Amino acid sequence: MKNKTGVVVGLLLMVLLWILLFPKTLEGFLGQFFASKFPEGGRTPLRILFMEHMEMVLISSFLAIFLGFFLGLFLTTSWGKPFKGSLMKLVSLGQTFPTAAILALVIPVVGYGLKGAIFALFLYALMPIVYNVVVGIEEVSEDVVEAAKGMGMTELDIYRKVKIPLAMNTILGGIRTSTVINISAATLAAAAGAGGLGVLVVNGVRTFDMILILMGSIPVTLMAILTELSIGMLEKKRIYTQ
Amino acid sequence: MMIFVMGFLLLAMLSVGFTKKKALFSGVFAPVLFLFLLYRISEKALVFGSQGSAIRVSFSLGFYGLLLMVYLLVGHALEKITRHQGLLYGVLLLLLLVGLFLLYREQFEAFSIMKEFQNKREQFFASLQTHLFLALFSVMLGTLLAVPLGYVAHSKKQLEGAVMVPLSILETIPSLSLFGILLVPLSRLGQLPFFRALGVSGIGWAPAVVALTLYSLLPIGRNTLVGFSSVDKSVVEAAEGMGMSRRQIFGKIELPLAIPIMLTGVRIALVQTLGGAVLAGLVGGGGLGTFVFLGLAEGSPDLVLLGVMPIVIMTLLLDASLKGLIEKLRRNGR
Amino acid sequence: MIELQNVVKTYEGQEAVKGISLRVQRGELYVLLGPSGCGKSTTLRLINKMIERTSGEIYVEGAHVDAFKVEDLRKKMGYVIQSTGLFPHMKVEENIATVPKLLKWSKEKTLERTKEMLRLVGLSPEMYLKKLPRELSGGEAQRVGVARALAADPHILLMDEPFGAVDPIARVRLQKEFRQIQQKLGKTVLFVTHDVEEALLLGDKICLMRAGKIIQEGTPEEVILKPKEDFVKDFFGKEGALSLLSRYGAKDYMDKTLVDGPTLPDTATLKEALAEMVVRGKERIGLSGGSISMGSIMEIMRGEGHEE
Repeated sequence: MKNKTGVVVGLLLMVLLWILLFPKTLEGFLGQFFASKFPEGGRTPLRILFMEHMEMVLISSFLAIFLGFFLGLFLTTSWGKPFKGSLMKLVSLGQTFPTAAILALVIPVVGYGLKGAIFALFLYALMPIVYNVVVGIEEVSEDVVEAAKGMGMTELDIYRKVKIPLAMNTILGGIRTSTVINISAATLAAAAGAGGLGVLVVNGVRTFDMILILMGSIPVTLMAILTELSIGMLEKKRIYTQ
Repeated sequence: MMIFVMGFLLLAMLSVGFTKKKALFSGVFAPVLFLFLLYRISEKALVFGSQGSAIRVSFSLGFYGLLLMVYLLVGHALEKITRHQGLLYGVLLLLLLVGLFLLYREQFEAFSIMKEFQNKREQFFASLQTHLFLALFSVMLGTLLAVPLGYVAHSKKQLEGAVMVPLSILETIPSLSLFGILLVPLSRLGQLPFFRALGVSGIGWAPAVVALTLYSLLPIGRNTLVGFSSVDKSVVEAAEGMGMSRRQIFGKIELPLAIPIMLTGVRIALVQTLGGAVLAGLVGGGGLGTFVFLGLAEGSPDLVLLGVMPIVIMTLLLDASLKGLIEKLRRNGR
Repeated sequence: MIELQNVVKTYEGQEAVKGISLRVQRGELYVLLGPSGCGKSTTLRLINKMIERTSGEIYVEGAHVDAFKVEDLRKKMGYVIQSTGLFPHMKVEENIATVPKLLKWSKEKTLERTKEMLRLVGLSPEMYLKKLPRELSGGEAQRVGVARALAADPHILLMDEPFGAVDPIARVRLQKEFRQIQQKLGKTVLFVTHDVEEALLLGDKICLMRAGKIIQEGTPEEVILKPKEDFVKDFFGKEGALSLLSRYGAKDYMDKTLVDGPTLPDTATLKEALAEMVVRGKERIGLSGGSISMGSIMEIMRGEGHEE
């Protein structure tokens, strides 16, 4: 099963790379079904847009993972306990906001363009990670923690050697969800002045140009699927209980 | 200034309100304080506002932060106090009534958000209606389609992959893209007389409904699958042994046991769709998204809020009521 | 070795442990016995400070428990619980090596010790070193739990119903083997259980508790043959005396008279001999090199009972 997914990932990766390196082939292929409204050239190359998109996603996700991880851990400790209830509620509340709303609220305050988008995406990506870290750590069997404590492990040891490794599956799940959503959300950021593949989609919608829309959507979808599958593979490796 | 002071006060109360009495106290005190603050600000604003119709009084970030704190505080208090919950709910209801009354008496007229609201009053309610319609209709369609799909995926193991995988892939397509992809085919479809009569075209409600329906397929379908799979096989076996027919087993055993999980899927889909319907604003489908994107383009947070707040409130209400319904069903099923 | 002086533990106004004083000698297997909720587990966990006592003093190996950093205290004692608490994400090898690693032993020493511990509990290192906890049966998991507790060679073992979750057949085997290990290594053990048979089989001393207090403390013979209260009598029941018989090997009390009929194995207990007598309707059962009579058994019980 793992090997099957690995093969699929490899294939999709190759397709994605091909599209990025030789966008004209895809365009040509699509051009057989739809009429193109734009002359070739005079458009930002796909590669550049892809890079912009990746930049937004990578920066916001890394920040979210890093900060979210530690924030989540903090909430599970005795110091963080007073804040846990409120912050978890806040996180759940935040997740009911549609992506567009978060973008639309944060960006005008922080600033249009790349910086604002990254900040907004970071905030949105933070939530699933904090949530999953807290839930994952709290799900670790009490008996195991009891045994570890009884053996004389310090609190830090218990986290490092027992709680975090056992919560990893759930945490990775949170990272997976957060990043995949981030990739999709970044397409919207184009509507707020950031770059990325969303630019193609937005322009395509405005001009009814199917090719533009697809040229923007296909790489993004491929990216999302790739991320979903690859992190999913990491998760599968780590199942310890029957 | 006062806002910061208030903010600190509430923050202090938040971290301190842990015993039952304190929680009750702060849970009641905070919203009352907040409403009072609102009233005072509105008085001042009215004074400003009367000096000219172009003057706007907006809420600062701190104010919204304050609102958030109050929300958390009340939520926290509701958790802690187990016996006097009725009291707190009563107080909240009272405050709500007072607030609505003040609203009616145009106490808050001077706030910029109210001005926007007044300006676009009709459009607001129309958008609200459209938004609800889009969301509910799409989820309904989604349920009609996804439940049979989920059941098929459950009863025939081989088909499970064939059903679930395309749905999962759908989910990873960015919403904007899906809307966009549907544009051209739908506009072509809209050129056929039957569909044109319905109002199908590349823009408008059609791509929104189709896209939202497609998105809701996964949560509903997956939860249907999980719901039926979670029915204990030994229970089904016992029923067979008693001589129940396939249909009876389905109707009396499997379905009732699977419904809570299925409804959870519907709940998730509904929350997702209420949010996703915002994008309809980009393709001319109406809905509260129009306000959001208008606000984004004009740089007016008030417009954005006008669009977002109803969504959040509706989401919270629907989410909570569905959760309650599901809990009730679960308990009856024991 | 372990001494409790008037230890009290209160939870929100309720006294779970009401002034307990006891002493466990070096090398003794001391059983805390009693019905559910009597406070035996609580008492155990006060010693390694998994719970903090409300008042009273506790001494371990002569030193007061408060004199240590709590983690150091726990590293000196082995702790075995009913659900084993084996780390599911670590192999058996890594599980056992946990405390040695915490104590910064060398890799070679740790590995040697791990293998030795596996052999001690009857598991072959070749087979079990690299297994994951989820691949083990209940009995195997408990053995690994014991091995893990003994890995750093603590003088004291604290055990809380360790064999409770194992099936009855494996359980008896585990009990017997554990008794042998404990006696061989001379470890001091504080053992909590609610199972009378287990207590009588394993214990050098039995401490019967109820509602947070010690009702009676003594050797199994003392507690069964000289109960202080009705509660003690009722707790062990009328068959208590019979269970006592399983502590004695038939071979130790036989005489040289030879009889016909099949003989019992050398490991037979007085209880098993008595059972044979009842089944066969004979008053004398043969062993290798002699036989045991019902009269002797009754004398033994009376004799033990008369001992002061």
